[in-house]
Amino acid sequence: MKIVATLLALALFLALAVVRAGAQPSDGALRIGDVLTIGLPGEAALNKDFPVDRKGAITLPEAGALRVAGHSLDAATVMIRDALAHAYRDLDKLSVTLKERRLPLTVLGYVKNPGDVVLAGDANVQTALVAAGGVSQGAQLDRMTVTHADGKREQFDYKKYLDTGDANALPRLAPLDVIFVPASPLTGNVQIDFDGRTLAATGDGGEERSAIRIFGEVNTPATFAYRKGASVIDMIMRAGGVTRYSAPEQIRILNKTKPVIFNLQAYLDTGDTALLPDVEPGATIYVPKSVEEIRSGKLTVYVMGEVAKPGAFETRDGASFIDILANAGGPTRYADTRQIHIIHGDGKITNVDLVKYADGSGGQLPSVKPGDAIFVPEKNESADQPSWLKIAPTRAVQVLGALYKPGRYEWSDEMSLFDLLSNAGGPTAHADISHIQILRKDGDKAAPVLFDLDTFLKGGGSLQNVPKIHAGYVVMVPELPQDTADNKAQWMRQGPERSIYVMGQVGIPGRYAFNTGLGFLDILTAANGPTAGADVRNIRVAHRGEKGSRVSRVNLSAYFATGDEKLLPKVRPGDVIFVPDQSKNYLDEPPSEVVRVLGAVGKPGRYPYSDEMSILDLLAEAGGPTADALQDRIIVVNLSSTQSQAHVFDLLAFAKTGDIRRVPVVRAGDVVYIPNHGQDEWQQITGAIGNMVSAASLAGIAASLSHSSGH
Amino acid sequence: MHKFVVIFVSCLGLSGCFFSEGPWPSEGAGGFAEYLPIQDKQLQDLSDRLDALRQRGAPKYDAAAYADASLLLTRCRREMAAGLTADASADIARLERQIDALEAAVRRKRPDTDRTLS
Repeated sequence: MKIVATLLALALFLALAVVRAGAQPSDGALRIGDVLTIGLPGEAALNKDFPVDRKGAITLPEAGALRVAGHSLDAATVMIRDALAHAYRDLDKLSVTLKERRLPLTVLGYVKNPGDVVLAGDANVQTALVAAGGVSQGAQLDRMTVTHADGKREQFDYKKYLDTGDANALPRLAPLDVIFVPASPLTGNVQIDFDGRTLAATGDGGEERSAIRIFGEVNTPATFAYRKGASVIDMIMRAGGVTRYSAPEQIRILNKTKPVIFNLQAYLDTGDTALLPDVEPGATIYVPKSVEEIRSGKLTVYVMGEVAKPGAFETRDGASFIDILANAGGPTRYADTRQIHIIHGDGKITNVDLVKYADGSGGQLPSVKPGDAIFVPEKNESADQPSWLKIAPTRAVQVLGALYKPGRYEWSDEMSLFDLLSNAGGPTAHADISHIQILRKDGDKAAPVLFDLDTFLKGGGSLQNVPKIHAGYVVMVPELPQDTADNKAQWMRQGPERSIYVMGQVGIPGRYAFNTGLGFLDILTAANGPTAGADVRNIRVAHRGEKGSRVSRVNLSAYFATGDEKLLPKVRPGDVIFVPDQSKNYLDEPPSEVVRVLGAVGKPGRYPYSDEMSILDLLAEAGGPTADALQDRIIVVNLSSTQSQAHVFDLLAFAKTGDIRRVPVVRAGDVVYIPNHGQDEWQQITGAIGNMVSAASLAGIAASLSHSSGH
Repeated sequence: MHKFVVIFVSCLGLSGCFFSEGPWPSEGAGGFAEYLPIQDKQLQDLSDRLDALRQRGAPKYDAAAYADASLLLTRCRREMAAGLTADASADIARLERQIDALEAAVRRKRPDTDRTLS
């Protein structure tokens, strides 16, 4: 009974095996790609190979296509014999053999030579890929597919095969299978040529759901394929490790929706594997920057604005303002370093002038405490107009006036006034370089200094005489007046210290620009010279600006007579020149300089007198004696502090004799009196009366004496 | 008593005679003394020095000072001739100083003509 049961089971197994063999071609059945050899002696058309084409048929001579795929070799032999029987009579010696088995495939996708390949019958995916030229860079190795002839699609992990060598990881190939090699999602949608290094650097994560994304401060942030059992350390190492800027204490791992903080530093310090969190498929790992780690920490200071690396920084005890600013990369070229603000945690604001501090005059920099913010604003300037605030007043010189480029210039003491003027474009055509004004500053005081550049340029001199310029000084180059005769408003632009005043009998009296390089005749000529009625012998010059008052008199007539330049006074700006009228007030002439001519002359008066003149000149000047003048009794009174005296000049006798010894001396200050005849008669009358009174008096005295003696 | 009255009145008349205007002053002189010989030795010396300065070019090198000195010499000569001796003495002293200065100026400008150096 037991034997019967065993036989029944064996029979059932064989039956099932037969059924299965009938439903599906066994390995012994012919298939597409097989090569049959048909032999029949004497028939050249048959003694050769007959491949089974893609339709599963062979093409027989005289008989046409005969489908043999799926049939056994014996069955195929029978079928071939039957087919050839119509054309060939003696088929006893017909032989059909399976020469070889071939595997026609199609390889598509990211391979170098996609298309049909024909391989050996036992070929696998790897040989198929090699036949197609190999996979291209960017191919997704773990997600290849094979589509069989019946339309069934099978995905396989070629990478796994490469990793393990397990042939079972590859699908079994059948003729007409289509192998497709997909592109990695990392290649994107744009066709570019990749190199292996780049691809490796960008990760190998092809499966979006399971790939591990690592970014932040790692050397190769990318998406990497998930590997079961890989720790966060493995993944970070896969990404090239953390950078020097990373914050290993605050690595964030997002497993699905659950964030986990991983302290790598603590793990490395302790080796405690319990600190290693699990990394699930599709996890995201973020390695933050160290600064970001302390962004809101208690030791954080913030640096914002125009610095090279703005951000949050961790401060420590002893960290100064400069330390923090240097850690932020320092101010950029656009930073306004004179207006740095420190916004303290309590809301107070401190301004820092870094330029002033760098100059050594800024004192101490404020301390920066955790929680403070340093704001470096952008300076308000352009390339062609740099900010003037960059230069501190202690390093700048102001240049004003008639220069081509007046302005505020940075100063260094090794420069000279000439350097400064040159840098300012030089004086304009209307600049008065003979009166360059330099305002020296010394503490809270300023003192003006005048410099005659014109004279220096013409005459040279010691450079020690050129005023030294220092930072903080003001240099003003005034303008020459346009035309004072036409527009007196221009006078306001001409300082009194460089003006001279000409008044009286000149062509154009007024206020003239003047410098020490000009002389008395220059200014007199500029005023069009003395008029016809000017008294050129008595020009007065009031010298102002001297200690005490001083007025000098200019005898221009004497100058023209002698040509002696010493007769011309030295005039300076500020002086006043007065050219009097010839018909001036007599008070203008002091008595010591005139001779008073009185009496019977045509024009009695006060006449200027010099020792080159004589009484004859005076009489002639005064119109000469009148008709009733006592010309022989002209009286000259010589006034003197010690010995005044009077003498008579007999003009008639002199005229008759020409004896110059009879001409009296006359000096300035003397008096000349010409009596007339009336005065002479009265003198005779008063003289006679006087004589008579004298005679009567003598007679009276004599009579009285005689009368008294008689008694 | 009557006699003394007469004498007193007579004296008054004589006194009126004494205090009344006298005769015309004497005739003056010196108005053209620069054309006459110099009588005063000091003045003559100064005149000679000024003439020497003229020859050494003083009118060219210090024209104004030379003209002033010449004019002052004229004045001195006139005053001396007119008998104004006090004024003349003062002016002679002034003239001497001017000539000294003039000599110094000419010596400075024309050292080759300075005889005192040789």
